[in-house]
Amino acid sequence: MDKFTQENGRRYRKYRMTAQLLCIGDRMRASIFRPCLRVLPGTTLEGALRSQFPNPDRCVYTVGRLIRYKVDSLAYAPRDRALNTSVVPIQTEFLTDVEAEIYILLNDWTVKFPEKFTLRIGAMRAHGFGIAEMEMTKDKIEPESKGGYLYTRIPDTTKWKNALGIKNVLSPVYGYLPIPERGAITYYQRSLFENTYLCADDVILADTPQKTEEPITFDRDPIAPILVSLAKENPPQNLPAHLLNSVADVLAKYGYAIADLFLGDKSTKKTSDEKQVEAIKKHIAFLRTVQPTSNNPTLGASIIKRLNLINEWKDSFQPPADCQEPPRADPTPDPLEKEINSVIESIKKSQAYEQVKKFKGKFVIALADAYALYGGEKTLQRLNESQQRWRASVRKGQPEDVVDLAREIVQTIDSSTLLPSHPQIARLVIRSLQKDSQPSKQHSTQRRFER
Amino acid sequence: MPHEIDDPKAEFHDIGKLLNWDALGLKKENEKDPHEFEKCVGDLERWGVELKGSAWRAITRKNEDRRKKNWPDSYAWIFVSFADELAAGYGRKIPENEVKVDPNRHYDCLWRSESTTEDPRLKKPEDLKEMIQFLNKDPSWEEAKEKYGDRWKKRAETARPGLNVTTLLSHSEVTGKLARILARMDWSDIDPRTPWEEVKKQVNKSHRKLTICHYELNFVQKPFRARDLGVFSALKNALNEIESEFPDNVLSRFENQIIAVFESEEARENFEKHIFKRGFFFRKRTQQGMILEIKRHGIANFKEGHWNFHFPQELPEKIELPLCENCQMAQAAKKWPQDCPEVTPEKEEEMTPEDLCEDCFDLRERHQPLRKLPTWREGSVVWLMIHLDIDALRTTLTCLHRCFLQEKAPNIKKRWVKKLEVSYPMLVDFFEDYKNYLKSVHQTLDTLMGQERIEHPMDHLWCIQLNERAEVLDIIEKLYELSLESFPKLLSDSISYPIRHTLSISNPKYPFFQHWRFFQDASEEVEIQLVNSGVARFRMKDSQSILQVITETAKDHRASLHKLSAIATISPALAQLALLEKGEHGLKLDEIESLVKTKQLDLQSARILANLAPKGGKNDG
Repeated sequence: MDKFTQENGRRYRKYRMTAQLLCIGDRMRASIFRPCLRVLPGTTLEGALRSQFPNPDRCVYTVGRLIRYKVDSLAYAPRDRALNTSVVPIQTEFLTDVEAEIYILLNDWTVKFPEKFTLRIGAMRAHGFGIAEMEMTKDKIEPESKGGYLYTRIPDTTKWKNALGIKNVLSPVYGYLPIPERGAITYYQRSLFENTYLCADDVILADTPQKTEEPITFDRDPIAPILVSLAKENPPQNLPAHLLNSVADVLAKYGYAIADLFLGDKSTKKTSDEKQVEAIKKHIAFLRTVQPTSNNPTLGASIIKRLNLINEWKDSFQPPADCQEPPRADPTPDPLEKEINSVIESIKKSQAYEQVKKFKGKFVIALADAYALYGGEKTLQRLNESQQRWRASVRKGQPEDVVDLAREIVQTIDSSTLLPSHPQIARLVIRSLQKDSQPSKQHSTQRRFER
Repeated sequence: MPHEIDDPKAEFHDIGKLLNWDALGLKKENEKDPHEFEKCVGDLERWGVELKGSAWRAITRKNEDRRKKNWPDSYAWIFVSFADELAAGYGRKIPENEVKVDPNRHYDCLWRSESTTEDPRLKKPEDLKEMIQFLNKDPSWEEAKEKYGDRWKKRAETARPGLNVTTLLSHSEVTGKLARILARMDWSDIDPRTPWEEVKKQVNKSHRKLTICHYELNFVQKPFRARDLGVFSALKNALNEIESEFPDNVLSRFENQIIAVFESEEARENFEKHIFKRGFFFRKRTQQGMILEIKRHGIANFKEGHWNFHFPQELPEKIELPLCENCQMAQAAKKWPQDCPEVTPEKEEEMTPEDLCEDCFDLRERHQPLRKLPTWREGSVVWLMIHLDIDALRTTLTCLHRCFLQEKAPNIKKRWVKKLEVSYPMLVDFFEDYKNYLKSVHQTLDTLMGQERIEHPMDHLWCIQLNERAEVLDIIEKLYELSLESFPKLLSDSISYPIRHTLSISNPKYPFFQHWRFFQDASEEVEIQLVNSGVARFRMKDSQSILQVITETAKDHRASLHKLSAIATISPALAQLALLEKGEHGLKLDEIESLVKTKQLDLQSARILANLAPKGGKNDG
């Protein structure tokens, strides 16, 4: 018996499934065409989970709903190895860029499934299809019984019906699902297909009948809530296009952390209006904390590039005011960002950094440029060779320790793993280390004005 | 059954409305705009009326004395009266004194612009005499329709202005069918001499129920190639046979849809058995209620009924291998083409072997497949399906009728306008025009593309060979013109066009069941699928302006459209933002921008249409 189910009532665990290529093959037609299903049958998911977590004594009851996908097809000729020939080419449909939500009924075994794992599912796995990343998004969901349209395919058996809380099948849509045993199909089982109207656990139901390939409407558009949120903030409309384009370019190529460094560097330049830079920084920080821009900087970049147009967009297209907030994301730093953070942290902890009161101006620019131009080794060499010249670039009143600090910076960067191979980013890191003990004149004027 | 089961001939009950009694000088004093013979002629016998046939029985049903004298034991008057109430338009629900404007005898169509205000009634004494002589012969409905059909069509069921929106013909036909269905019920608990109001009370207390079902017949097969498309000829035959076997039960039939009425559960089951017998399944929604309850809600008003699927028989729990490749719902007992005696060994070699069940094998063997499609080896084909959405039709007509009523009877109380509901005979009028529309589409396609390039498996389904894809845009233009001609008032901003036009373009060998799946899902007014590329969706009323803009834009900015649409596949909102970009890097799609802003077109649709637009002009890519 399923202990968990017995003790705590029925609960589901929800996973988010993503796959680049997925082929849930329907039956071959006329020996030349293999259509791909636009649904995830319960038996397919069950089979995949069983082979991932084998346990002959336990059942897996699971359903999945495709949220997003595109349909594509390919033609290939399977090889008959015995005859050493290729058979007639088959056109196979498959899905790309797939996102789905999977619900697994919890029992004493399925409750032990990890929060993150890779599932091999569907057909053509030998050709690289069906590698699906599973990530738990919600645990112990208590189902509610209600009426609705089934969005998946499940065997019409008492076991499955009981497991998924199916009480009353009001309008069945029947079909047959293959039941495999030891890798080969042994028989076809009568099954309930999508759009069956029934009373069951709400996690297996849709409010309206399923349709294939529906257009992305506003409520399914992942970017729309972000644009609406940005529009609410009333972003400035006169941000310089060259700055937006440069930031967007950096963001798309190197991600949020580097874009932030880049902007930080811009704010120290007299050519940029600090207020404008701050505005962009604020919006970048926002994009980083919401889905789907958080883990897709390219998307974030395409919004940043058009930041000036957001108000016009709001006026022209009038998005619904009651639009939901974009889902929050926990920004996880990538390896390069982690490294940058640790480099900066270790430099800032160093004695030399502590001792230098001011670390800014020409010296930092020269050091950063030298690193970007010559790399760590040569910069150190030059630092040693022409220590006098370096010293000369130090501002009046600055202790000479600044050269030691420069040496430490270069050495710390060089000892890291990724930064030496990204000298331009290292340049930004060095520039970001500038210290400013006293607020500049411009700053105080601005503050007064703001007050 | 205790009473006679002869035809009540309820179709004739309102024939008096075809006569202008005032002009004939036969209107009795104190009678306000009557149309009944006995209220006008008075002494019927003096005019040569021979009260013998069923037609006269239906016409004079309201006169109790005459009824008791001539047909004392007949229930026909009850059937005709109830059927008349059931098939009545909205006008009967509004009290007489509510619309105080001069009556309009002519029919005003809600969806067509042209309207004649000419009074269609006969006004000469000779006409009356001729009609009486005709009725004395107790003619059939077909004979009567041949003689007076045109007038029936032009005369409104209700003469009150704003309510004259249903033809007398559709009202009479529906009344006729319903009366025959009612006659099949057991009425032995009611004495036919009972006064009408008493009969109504008794009927209200009884358990007599009418069942009205909306069926959509379908096949379990998933047709792949032309040889499987014989399933359409089988479906067409089945629909024709069912209609001729149950002429009274079938109130309306169009496409693969049937609206049928049943007097009992046995009658419904028997009807459904006949569908299953022919190998088809259906989805159905039902309205059931007492006679007067149905009258209150309106026939075929399936407000809350959702669709239920029904399969031919109890399907087996398990099917052993091999499974039928065509329907995938039964075990394959036959092999194609080996088991087919008509296939020669030479042909057999060309064909791919398939495992089929008895039904699918039989279907392939017996029914005519499509002949032209297999010969179209090059280029593309477009499948066109036209579909009438009855729920959308009801909503649209209700909206139009409300506006029309307010315009013609401005003093009418708002609650009558608010409560307004479309009557079934009005839908019947529409179905008739819809069938004519389908015919005109076929004729136009024939002229435009040539007969040799068209397959026409069903009344609402076509397969057309394309020399170039741009021809699809010509087809849409023609469909728009025909829609404008047939239903001009339905192509408006405020209401939805209930006729869906779905087109799917692919190479000729592309599996048909994929097109079919797309057709089943379509819900927009116009949807065009370019297989492996995407779907364009827009409203029929906008089609002309959209096609114009697209054809112009595609000449020079095809690449920009593709770029924009690629963004739209990720996020339409982001694409809208990109569309606003001006200056050097902007996409320069001003006309598209205005269509997108007004929500007439989305960007994916623009790309698909641009792909269909004729090549030429410089490409900005």
